[in-house]
Amino acid sequence: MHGQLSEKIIEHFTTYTDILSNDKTIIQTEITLEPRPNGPWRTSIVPLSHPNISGIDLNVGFAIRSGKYGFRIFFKEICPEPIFNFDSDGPKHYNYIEELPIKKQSIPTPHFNYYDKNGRKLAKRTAFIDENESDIKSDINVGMSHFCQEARILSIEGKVPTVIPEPQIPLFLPTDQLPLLNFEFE
Amino acid sequence: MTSWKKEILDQVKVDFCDLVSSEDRADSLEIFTPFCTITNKFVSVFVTLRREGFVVSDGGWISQGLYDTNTSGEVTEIEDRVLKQFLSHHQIKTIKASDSTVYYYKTTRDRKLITSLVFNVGQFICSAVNNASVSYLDSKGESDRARFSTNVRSYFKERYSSTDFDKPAGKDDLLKDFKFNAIINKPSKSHLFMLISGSDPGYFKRDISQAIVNFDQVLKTPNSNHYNRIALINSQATGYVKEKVNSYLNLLSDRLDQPIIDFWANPEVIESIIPIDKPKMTA
Repeated sequence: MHGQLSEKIIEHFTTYTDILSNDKTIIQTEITLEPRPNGPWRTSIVPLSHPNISGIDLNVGFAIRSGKYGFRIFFKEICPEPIFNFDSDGPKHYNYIEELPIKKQSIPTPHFNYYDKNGRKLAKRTAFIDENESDIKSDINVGMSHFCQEARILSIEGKVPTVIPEPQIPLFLPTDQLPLLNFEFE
Repeated sequence: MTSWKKEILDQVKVDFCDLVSSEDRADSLEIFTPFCTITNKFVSVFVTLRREGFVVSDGGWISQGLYDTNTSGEVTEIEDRVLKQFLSHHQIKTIKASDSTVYYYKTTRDRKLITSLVFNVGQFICSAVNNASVSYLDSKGESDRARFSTNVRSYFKERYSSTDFDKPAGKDDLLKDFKFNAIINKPSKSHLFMLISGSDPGYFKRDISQAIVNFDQVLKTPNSNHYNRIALINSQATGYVKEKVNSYLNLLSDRLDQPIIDFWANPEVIESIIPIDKPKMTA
């Protein structure tokens, strides 16, 4: 199987493009994230108003220790998975496009994920990502601003909503900062 | 080796090696590997230097859902069993951090063995992510069955003022453990329906068998004449392969008061058995 094919996206592709290509608004100007019970994520789900489609949500997630973050647009009526998302960090995506050499099939983060008309989930980077990668990785609001531009989202005041950032710390806490993970050595 | 073969070998080696790259991450080195999951993510492996030696881990990424595995769904028993086999096969250890992130890792004090561990942990991550992403349930079959059931239900709801779904029939003690897909109770008769569907002949026969068991039990009740035994088949189901299911259908027919009804072809047969008691909706 080459990629996650979504039959639902193929079936509702007109709705899918309508959701993404039309302007969407968020009522609040600030998005406050709440801790989740398990894992490092703080998240918030906010509804997106679209001129003629209801039931679209934006999920904002931020990992407190590593500073990774992501934005996900859901429209659960056609797909339980996000229909469009942005990840600041995480694994490279494999765009299996037969005509391309393998090196070009690998799309590192930060990147967007979207579906094409064949229901294939693909990743893309933009010129803005290429030029501002380190700012994007270190500041959720730089990413938010770019995401809102790509996904056509604004707050009702016509601005990009602000997400409150959190401090970053390394993947594993340095050994002098407990709680320490006690990896078992042979 | 002829030159074109050597060129191809060199090309594959270079292209494969190009897929291996890295990112410097605080206390760790992230290594991008050429392993790829069925969620279309390239596997990253983290090498972390500790006083005791090297830790080679997934960086907590599987547990944090970064490989796009479905983290909302419950872990099925089969998924759990498969994961345990991969853990044991690759001899992977696990540790849970205070924020509940699970790290999968291996350790070594010998720097020369790191490549072997990266290979091993990378393969494990790939297997674990694929395990968590594969649907072990037959989702197409389930959705076909659900669609059939929904259609049958709305057909009944539009025509009959009271229909029970998936309940035991009446108060007969002998039937209390037997659920029927649809029940229409009339003063003279209680009409019991079993639905037959399935994405392959095996599932289709399973539905037939269930109907046979239920109707056999109805026949054991003292007032079995009060019940009307009816089976509706989903002739559009991919499991409806006549030559494979016919002998089962014949067994079922022997237990019915009506010939088996093809719901898509002849739904009006139901109305001829049970007169509609709801005014017809005008469009």
